Amino acid sequence: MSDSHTRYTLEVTGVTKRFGSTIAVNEASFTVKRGELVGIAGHNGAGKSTILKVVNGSLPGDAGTVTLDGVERSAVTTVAHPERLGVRTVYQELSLAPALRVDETAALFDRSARGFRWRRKAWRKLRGVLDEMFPGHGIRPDQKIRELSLARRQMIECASTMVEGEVPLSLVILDEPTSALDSTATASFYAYLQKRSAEGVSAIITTHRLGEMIDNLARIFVMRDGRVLSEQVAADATKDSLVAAMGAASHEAGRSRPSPDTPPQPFGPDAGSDAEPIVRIAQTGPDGETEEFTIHRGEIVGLAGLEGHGQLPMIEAIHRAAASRPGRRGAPKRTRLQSVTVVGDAAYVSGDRGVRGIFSLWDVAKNISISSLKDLTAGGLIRPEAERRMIDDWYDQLGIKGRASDAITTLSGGTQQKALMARAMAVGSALLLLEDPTRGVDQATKVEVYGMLRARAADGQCVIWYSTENEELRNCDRVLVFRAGRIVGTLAGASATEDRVISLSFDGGERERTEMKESA
Amino acid sequence: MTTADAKRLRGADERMAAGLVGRALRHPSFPAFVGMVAIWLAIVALSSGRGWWDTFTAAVIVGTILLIAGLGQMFVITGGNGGIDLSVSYVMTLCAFFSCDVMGGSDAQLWPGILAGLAIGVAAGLINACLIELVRMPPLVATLAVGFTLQTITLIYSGSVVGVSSPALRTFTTAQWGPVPVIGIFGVAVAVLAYVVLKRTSYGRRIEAVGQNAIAAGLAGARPSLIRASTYVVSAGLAGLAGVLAAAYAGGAARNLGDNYQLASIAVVVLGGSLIAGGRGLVSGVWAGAILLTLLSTLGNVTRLAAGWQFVIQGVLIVLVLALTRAPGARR
Amino acid sequence: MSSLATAAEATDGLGSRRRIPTVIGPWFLPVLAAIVIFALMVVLRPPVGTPLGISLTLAPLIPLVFASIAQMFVIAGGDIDLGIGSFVGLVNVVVAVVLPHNVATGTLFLLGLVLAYSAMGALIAVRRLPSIVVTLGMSFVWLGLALVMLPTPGGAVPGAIAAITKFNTPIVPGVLIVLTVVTVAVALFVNQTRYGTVLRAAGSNAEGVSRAGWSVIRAKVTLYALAGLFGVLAGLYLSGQTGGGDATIGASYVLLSIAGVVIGGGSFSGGEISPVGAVAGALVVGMLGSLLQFLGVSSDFQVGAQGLLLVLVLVLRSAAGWIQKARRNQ
Repeated sequence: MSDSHTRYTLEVTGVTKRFGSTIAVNEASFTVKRGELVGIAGHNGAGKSTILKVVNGSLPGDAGTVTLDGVERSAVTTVAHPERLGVRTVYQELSLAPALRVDETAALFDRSARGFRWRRKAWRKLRGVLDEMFPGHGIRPDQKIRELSLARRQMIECASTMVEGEVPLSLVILDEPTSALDSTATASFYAYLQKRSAEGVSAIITTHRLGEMIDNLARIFVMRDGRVLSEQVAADATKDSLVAAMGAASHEAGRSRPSPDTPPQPFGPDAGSDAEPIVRIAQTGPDGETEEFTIHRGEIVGLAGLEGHGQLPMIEAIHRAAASRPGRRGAPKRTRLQSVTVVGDAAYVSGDRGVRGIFSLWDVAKNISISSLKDLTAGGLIRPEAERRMIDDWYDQLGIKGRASDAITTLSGGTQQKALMARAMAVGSALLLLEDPTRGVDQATKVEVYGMLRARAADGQCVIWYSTENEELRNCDRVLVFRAGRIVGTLAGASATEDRVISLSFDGGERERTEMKESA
Repeated sequence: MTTADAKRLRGADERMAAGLVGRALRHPSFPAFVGMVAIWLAIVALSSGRGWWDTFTAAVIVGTILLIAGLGQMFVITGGNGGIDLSVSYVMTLCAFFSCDVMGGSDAQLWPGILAGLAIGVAAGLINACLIELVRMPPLVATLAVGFTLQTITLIYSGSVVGVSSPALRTFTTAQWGPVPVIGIFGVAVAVLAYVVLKRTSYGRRIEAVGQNAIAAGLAGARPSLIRASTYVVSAGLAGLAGVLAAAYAGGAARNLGDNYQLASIAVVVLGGSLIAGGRGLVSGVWAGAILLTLLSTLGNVTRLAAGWQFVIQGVLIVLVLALTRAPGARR
Repeated sequence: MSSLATAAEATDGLGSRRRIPTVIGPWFLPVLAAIVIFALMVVLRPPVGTPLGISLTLAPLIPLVFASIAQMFVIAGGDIDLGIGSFVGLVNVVVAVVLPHNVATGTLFLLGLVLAYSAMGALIAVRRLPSIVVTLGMSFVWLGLALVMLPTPGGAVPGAIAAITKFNTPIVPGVLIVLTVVTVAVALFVNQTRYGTVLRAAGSNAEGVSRAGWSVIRAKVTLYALAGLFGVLAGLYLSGQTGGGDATIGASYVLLSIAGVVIGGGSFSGGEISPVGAVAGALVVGMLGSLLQFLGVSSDFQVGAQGLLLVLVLVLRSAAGWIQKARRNQ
């Protein structure tokens, strides 16, 4: 066996995976040395989870090879029992059954716990790992999983993955392992990983917490649109360098430069501020004071901050608070810390197309017209010619390729997203809500989408935009930065770089807010 | 036009015809139609060619009642979320009794009787809708429990019902326009109406959207909870209509009137090719399935097949069709 | 305690503070309800409290207890069984018609029925079919087969079986012994054995179970096999008690068995089952019928009342869920 094989635990070469017409992973290659901790960074839809599923054999790829401990396998084949090859995985969607006790769960994952005292045997092994990985965890064997907090469930899942089994552990794949853990737990988790890595165990970690990766890992691979674009040594990397690799450069091209046809956009809340605001958000501060944020027609407002800090509940609350008709005031809706009132109706576009967007049995035409049917009916019946005309019109406006009678599942991700945008735009609502609308979409389409949104705002539509790619929110007039469910600051769109967003959210906003007030 | 052009045109015509035939063959309701014709031919063959049209018309009468119940079930199933209506037979029976009570055997009370039957059906549907969408009970349990409650009410109430169906309605169920049974035409009309509602109205589109992806439908403005609730009202209302017609055909109501229709109403939806997980309803398939099932029991009678075997064949047919269709979708 | 534990503890929220009720378990309320209903019955008819009274009251409920356990296994896998009633009827017919003539054939037939249930489970699991429609369709197959073998009630159950079901000891009523043995056996298997735990997990997180290396399909098939086994036991017991065969005898068992499992704390999202609860729930549902009889309510109402009870329990549980959610959001 050559020297390289003993050095590398994992070699991934040229793996490609398609879902229908969407390319999820595009000739991705990377390596993991023995005893090395590496990370994979990238936005949602970049292909991280998919490539890892091909690596552990749970998903068949379309091309490429995966070499594990010197044994090469075609990526097209699946592996029924990766743990027998020494590969264990912790998925983002936890594998725990809520009805089971902790010791029963431990036994479920540890096949060697047999015989009369099977639960106690399994628990003892798990507790050994838990005590090392998360000292003072306070988990008891008789507790039921559904009684435990998300943090403790993650601890159990991480620990049970590292319990010594029949086959020695060679590679552990961790998808967002620390998302619910606090800083103490995260620190001890990585300390444990370092200890195991010294014994020869390798790990691949994907997380959105860039700082964590830089502090704890050896190398970081950056994925974008299915490709592994760069490899950075963690010691030399910074958040900026990672974010730049993840996709900031593309946003330069999409930045707000008005096209000759559209008049230049006034930035800031002055746009139509004498009219009644479309959206009013009242937030109760820790000091008991109420802060109000208003959004007017013609504005593009972004919701930014680290993922999962309240942006999604906010945009969903705005959707719920919207009225059924333009001009009407909807009933106020609450999130944990805010109260939202909306005047007018709203249309919603989600980037999670499969789950929250498309109707997979239908063709593109029906997918587009579903939200505007009342405009197409006469005498209770849908008029086919009116529907056809509307669809053709949107095909033209948005440059959608293909025929309206194609099944929507045959379209590429970018074209599907255009169809979903057409659906929302056809409503002609006062408010357009976007949830990660360019997820998994090719670069060219992204630029088109940014142009469409600016045009809509120019026509007076109010756009609220939640994106996990903070950089693309620089297309907005204003960006509201979230931290732990609270809006902690506002940035002018042009200056909303990832760095400023993150620093605003980490600092708790006080310093920035003072700065903003002073400069206003 | 040149010969080359003519040939090209003919080729295009042939391709279009082949395309149409291909589409018909691939249509999910195709097996139901084939089965229907096959069983019909079998009956004709076994009864030595006698009364081949009469066999069909007899099946159409009972089949229409089954069709109406099946269409209601189709709406519920198409709405998705594990939607199913297990109260159909009990609604039919109770509405049968109620309408007979109101009609009291007189033609003057024909319309009040029909409306009364429909009203009870709608009321039952509203109860189902509330339990399923407000209390969030699984549709299976809610409709089953409501069904059993209705059965209890029927048991108490039916003892005091002396009236029978109006003679005019009775005649309607057995009348013929020349060779064609009137109720058969009525059944087709109801099916056409159901088709129009499902495929050509925004309401119907929304039902199919909700059945395919309730989350996306909600975000697209289709109000899934309300839509699903309405399907239960439609289903029970149609079951009520079916019950009224069944009582008219039989001359009066009976406690076991609805018994055979429960499984059959689900079977015709499955056999007809509608998606059991929701999202696509096929009205033509429900029609073919209704005729098919009715002919199946006729075949059973013609061959003097024991009732037991008829049940077995029905059950096996349903499971087989389910197991062989390619559409996946595990719902309870 | 370290800061880690307190931090984790704090985020448990209601979870850890609610420890006392969960130690008791979901079986507590149904068992309590069963005892209360039994006490009520004794108050109304004191003879019920005697060993003979207990036997007479509870013996007819044993088949329902078995049927509820069968339903419990299916619900544990995240499915539902609408054919259990006709299946019990089929078993009854086999015992009354085939068994008296040829013990070997009859026994093979019964074993074959358990295998048939497993096959049904395999079909549902492998092809991912909706269990509602499959079991509903199979209910007609079971009923049809039963009718073919015995078109009208009749037949004769072998005396041996009747004797077994009627067995009694001088001090403790045989019924109680049977109930205890069955409950303990099933509870031990489901809660204390490793594979029982796998079965429970398969219903609530199938993905996780298969990632741990277990076969979800095998788990589902096992659950259906156990359901078939207990369906056969229900039919055997019922046959012993009635002495004859009747294809339609199990008609009410579908609703009653579902009610028993649900009242006993079982949840439709799978995995959350309690054998003790299912037994207690079945007893509650069954005794409710007898209680209504004592109160002079006509037997026509009994099934309706039992259905209403099921609805009531589910409504209450839903309401409790709302209250909890509201409290957590405050």
